[in-house]
Amino acid sequence: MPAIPWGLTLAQIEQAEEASELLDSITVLTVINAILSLLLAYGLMTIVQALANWLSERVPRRFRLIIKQSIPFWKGIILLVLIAHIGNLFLDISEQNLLALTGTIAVALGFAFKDYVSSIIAGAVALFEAPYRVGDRVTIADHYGEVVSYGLRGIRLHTFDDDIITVPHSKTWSEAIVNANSGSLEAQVVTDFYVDHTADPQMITDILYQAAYSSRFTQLKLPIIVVMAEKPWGSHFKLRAYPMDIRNEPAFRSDILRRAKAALAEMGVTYPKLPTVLIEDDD
Amino acid sequence: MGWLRFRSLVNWLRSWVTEAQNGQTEGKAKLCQLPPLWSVSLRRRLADWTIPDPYVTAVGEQLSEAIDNWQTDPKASNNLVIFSSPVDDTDALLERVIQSAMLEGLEVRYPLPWNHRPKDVQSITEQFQQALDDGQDQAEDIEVDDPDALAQRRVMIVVPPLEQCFLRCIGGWQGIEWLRDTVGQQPQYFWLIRCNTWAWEFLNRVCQVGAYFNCQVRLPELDKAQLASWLIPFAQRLQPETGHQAETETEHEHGDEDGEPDFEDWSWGTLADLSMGSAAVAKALWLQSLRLRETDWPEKIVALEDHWSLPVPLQQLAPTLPGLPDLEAEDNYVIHALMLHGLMSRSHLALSLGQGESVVQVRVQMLRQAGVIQVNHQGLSIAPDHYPKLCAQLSNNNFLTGEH
Repeated sequence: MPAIPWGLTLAQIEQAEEASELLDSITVLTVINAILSLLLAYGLMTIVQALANWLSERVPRRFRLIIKQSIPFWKGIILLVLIAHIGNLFLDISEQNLLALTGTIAVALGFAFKDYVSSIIAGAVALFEAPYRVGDRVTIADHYGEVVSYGLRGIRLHTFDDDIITVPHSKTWSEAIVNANSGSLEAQVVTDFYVDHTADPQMITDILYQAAYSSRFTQLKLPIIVVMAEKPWGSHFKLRAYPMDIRNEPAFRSDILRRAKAALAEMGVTYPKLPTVLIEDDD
Repeated sequence: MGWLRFRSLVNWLRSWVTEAQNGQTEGKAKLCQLPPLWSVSLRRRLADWTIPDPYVTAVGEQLSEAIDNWQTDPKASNNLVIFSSPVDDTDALLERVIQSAMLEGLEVRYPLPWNHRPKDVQSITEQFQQALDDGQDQAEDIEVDDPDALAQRRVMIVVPPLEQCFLRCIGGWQGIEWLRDTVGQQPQYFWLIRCNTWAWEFLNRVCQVGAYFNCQVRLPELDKAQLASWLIPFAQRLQPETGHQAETETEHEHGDEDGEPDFEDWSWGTLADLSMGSAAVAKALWLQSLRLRETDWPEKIVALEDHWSLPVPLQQLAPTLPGLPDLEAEDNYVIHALMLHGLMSRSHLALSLGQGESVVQVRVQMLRQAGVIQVNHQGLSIAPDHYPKLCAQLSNNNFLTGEH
């Protein structure tokens, strides 16, 4: 007959006692209460998200971003209240219990939910540092789009191709975040033009300025700049301008291109002919 | 911009409360809208009604001062820009002001025979050049510092409104640039220029007209007393020939203890606030506030062309701003283009927006049905009664506006 490991049994008994002290008496009512609270919180968060999205698309542009940017705040408040309520239901937080609880949580997080918790913490930090907010146009790891949702674990980007890309908040620890508008309605849009070396640069510059000034999307309160660079195969012009609403970026760029190309064609401007070597490289 | 938003919010609240009160008054007193035939007739008469005196005084005084300076100081500015809103018609005002200038012995020339944008906008520069060719030759012979040259300053040139001289497209404002450069080179002429404030904001950004035309006057905002003294004579002429004055339901309700109505003070003050002091907007809002008693509704509605007075007395509700329909993002661009260019044809509107005419036509039709824009034989324009709310709408949507 094997000897009974008395030491271990006592330790187990002590742990069981600690656990029963830590956890308040769990009854059917408290469990139902917790489930209902979870459902209520989920419902509230869904309503906040839907209401804010609905409202932000119906108010004047000036208020759109303000409403969208408030979503994480309201969700955070709901989440905090939920955690406090459930903690209050199940846990008896004394000094000793708190130590035991944090130890347990640390072990669990260290092994199982490391990435998840990293994202949650990064999300909380991002709320204060604001590398992106709902409504911003951001580039994260080659993905460019509008931030349409700010969740617990990550954000969702809506791209020009109508794709939804989920990016975890933890990317902010390691990746560069490029934010085009950073909370404002306007963001600079760069439109590239390529012409032959023989084209008159002054005339091209005038046409590009006029193309930007005459677009219905252009924010005239902000500067418009044309810059030029020489390449071996031709001249490269960059038109930097701001649309009134960054959402119009593709339409704005198309409008400028259409206007400028029509004027350039009328003036007989020729486009650069790429050397055969470059074309083959592209292929 | 902040003041515009605050004002628009106050006006919105005021209109909302007044509308509710008007609804009650209308129901209690059994009032009804004017017959459409009469409304059209009254609108025409209002369009031909005299110009408010404060407009004539303000512009006349400024013009007189600017001409005096130009004739006595070789380095004085040789131009005056008159600013108005996109819904104000300045043709009649200009006629009045020019008459007084002619009395002072000035010769007035109109180099271009039109007041509305020609079909070929790119030809405006050429038209200006042809019309003012003689002046350019003379300008080369005149010494700016020669005191004798001041005696030759007897000619005033009146150009069409600037908003009609350009279009928002590549090469569309060359005429303005030519004018801008020419005015400074021809000090022997005094140039009288009109421009709506929205077009001015645009032109100031794209070709810095403000640096060249720096002598400016804006149509003053009319206050309640000025509006009352301007429109009450019109209302009195409309009353039946028995001679009684415009009655109002509110008059009975808010009368002083001695029986004298204090309605006029309150109503005209509201009209002045809601209309932003613009005569064109005030006219439209005032016309909308007119009602008939149901019992006065004529059995046979006849046109009012021959008689000024109406067969039945008019009732007047407190003025309110009409509500805007739900506007789509594309509608804002159409409205902004019309603010910028004033009266314009559909093809020019499409060119300014950079869209196909058929695409623009759909939006125009929707806005026209909603009453936001009006159409006449000369083209499309903004309905004056919607102007205050449209200003706030475009400002809130991040557009460059002409109101601050």
